[in-house]
Amino acid sequence: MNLYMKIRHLLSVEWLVIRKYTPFWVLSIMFMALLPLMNILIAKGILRVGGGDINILSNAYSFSHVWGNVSYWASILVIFLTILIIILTTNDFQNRTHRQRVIEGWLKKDYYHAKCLIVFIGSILTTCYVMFCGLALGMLYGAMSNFPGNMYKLIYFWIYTLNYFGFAMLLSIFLKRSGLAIGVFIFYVFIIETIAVNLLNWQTKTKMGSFLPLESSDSLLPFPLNALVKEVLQQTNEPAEWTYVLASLIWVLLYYIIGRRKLLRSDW
Amino acid sequence: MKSYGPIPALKGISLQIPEGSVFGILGPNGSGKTTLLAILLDVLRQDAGKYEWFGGIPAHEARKQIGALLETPNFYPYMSAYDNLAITAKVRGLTTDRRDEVLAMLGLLERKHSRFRTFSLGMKQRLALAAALLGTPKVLVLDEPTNGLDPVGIAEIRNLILELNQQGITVIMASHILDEVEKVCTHVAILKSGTLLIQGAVDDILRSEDVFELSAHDMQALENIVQNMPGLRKIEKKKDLLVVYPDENVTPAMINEYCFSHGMVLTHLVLKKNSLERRFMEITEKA
Repeated sequence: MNLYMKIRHLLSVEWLVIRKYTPFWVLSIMFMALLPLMNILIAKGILRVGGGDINILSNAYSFSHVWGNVSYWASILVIFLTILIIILTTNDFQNRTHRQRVIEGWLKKDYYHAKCLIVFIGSILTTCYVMFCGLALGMLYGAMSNFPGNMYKLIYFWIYTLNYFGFAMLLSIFLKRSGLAIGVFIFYVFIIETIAVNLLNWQTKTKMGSFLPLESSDSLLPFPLNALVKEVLQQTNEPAEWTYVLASLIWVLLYYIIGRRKLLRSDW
Repeated sequence: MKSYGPIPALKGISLQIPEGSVFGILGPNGSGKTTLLAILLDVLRQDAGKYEWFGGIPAHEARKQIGALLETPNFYPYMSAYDNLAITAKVRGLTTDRRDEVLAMLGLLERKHSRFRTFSLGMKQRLALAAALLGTPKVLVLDEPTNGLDPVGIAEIRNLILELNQQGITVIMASHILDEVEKVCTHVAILKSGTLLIQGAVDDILRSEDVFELSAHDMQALENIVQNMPGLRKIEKKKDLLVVYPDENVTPAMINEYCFSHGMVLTHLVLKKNSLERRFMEITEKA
C-alpha cells in the first residue's frame, strides 16, 4: 500500500467512526455557528467591552486587520474542538475499539497515525473555515483597500490549532478517560500554564515562560488591542514571531514522538 | 514470557497448533489464557519469546486472516450492529459485503439496525463472533466464546464452532469450562498459573476412565491380592475402599473371579466413570 492509499484507508475508517457520533456534530456546529455570530456582533458594536465611546474589542474588520481579529476569536472557540479531539481519542480506549483495530489487522502504529491524521486534517479544515469567515466578514464590514492583507495570521492560527489538538491528543493517550482528560486539560490551560508563564517570565526576567507548550502558540495570536498597541509602540524587547512559530512546531513534534513511544510500547 | 509488574503471568510456554484442529486452552481463571491469546494478537507485548503465524508471514498480515474475539466485545455503543461491522469490513479491506450473512449465522439479523448499547451481553458476544467471521478467516481465536450466553446459545455457538471447523477453519479457543473443551476441541493445552502443564490430543488427555471400587473385610489382604492381578494400571487406597485403574478390557467379572480364586470374598465391587473434573484435578494438582 502506498502512502496515499494508506492515508485514505486510515481516514475512511475514522470517518465511519465519527460520522454517526452526535457530539462530533454538536461541537462542530457550535464552533461553526459561534465564530461568525460573535464576529458579527463585535463588528456591529453590539458586543462591546468598555463604557461610552471606549470599546476595547477591536471592531476593525478591514483587510488586513480582519485576519488577526477573526483568528483571535477563533482561537478562543477552538477549545470546543479541542474537547472534541479528547472525546474522540478517549472513546477508543473506553470502548476498547483501539484493541479491535489491532485484532483486525492494523499495526499499533496505524491506529496512532489514524488519530494523528484526525488532528492534522481537523486543524486544516478549521483553518479553512476561519479563512472563509475572515473573507466574508472583511467583505461585509471592512474596507477592501489592503486586500488580502496579513493572511499569514491564518498560518499562525493553523499552528495554534495543531498545537492545541496535538496537546489534547497526547493528554488523552496518557489519561485514557474523557472526563479526566478534559478536566486536566482545562485546569492546565486556564490555571497551571497561566501561572507558570507569568512566574517564569517574572523570575527569569526573560520571555522564557512564553515558550511553554500552549503559550508559544497563544503568543502568535494576541488579543487584537494588544497587537495594535505593540504595533504603535513598536516594542522591540519582544521575541520575533518566527521564534514562537518554531517553538510551537517543536512542541507539536514532541507530542508526536512522546505519544508514539507511549502507545507503541504499552499493553493495549 | 510475560509479567505484570513483579507478577509473572506466563512462564515460558511452547505450543504448536496443528492446522485444522480445534485447539483448546484450558485453565482456571487467572491462569494466563487471555494473556497468551492477547500476545498472539499483538495486543499485549511479551517480555520474551516469539510466535509465528502461518509459517512466519508478517504478524499484521496474518491477523487479516484471523478472526478473533478477545475478552470483551469491542464496539462503538452509539452505532448499530450493521455500522459497527462496516468498520470491521473497512479495516480488513473486504470488498464483498457479508454482513447480512454473518449476522444471520449468529441470529442477529433482525437486530442489525439496533444500537450496540441496547444489546444484551449474549448479543454483544454474538456480534463479536459475527465480526470475527466477517473476513472469512482461516483461523478463529476465541477467548471464552460462550461467555454470557444462555444454555441454548451455548449449544448453538458450540455447534457453530464445530461446523466452521468442518469447513476447514482452525479454531484456537480459551476456556475454563472443562466440559466445553471436551465437547468441542480436538487438542488441548492445560495452563495453570502461567505454566503449561500438559498438551496433546483431547482423547489422550481428557480420556474419561473406568475405575473399580473394591472392598472386603480384610482390606490389607485384598490389597496384597489385587496388586498381583494382571491388567491393572494403578491401585489407590482410600479409607475403606481400594480404587483400581484397569486396562480397557478388564471387566468386573474378571476382578470378582480373580479375587474369589485367591480366597477373597468382595463385599463391594462397583464400576465407576472417572469424571473429567477429577481428571482435571489430577493434572492440575500434580503440578
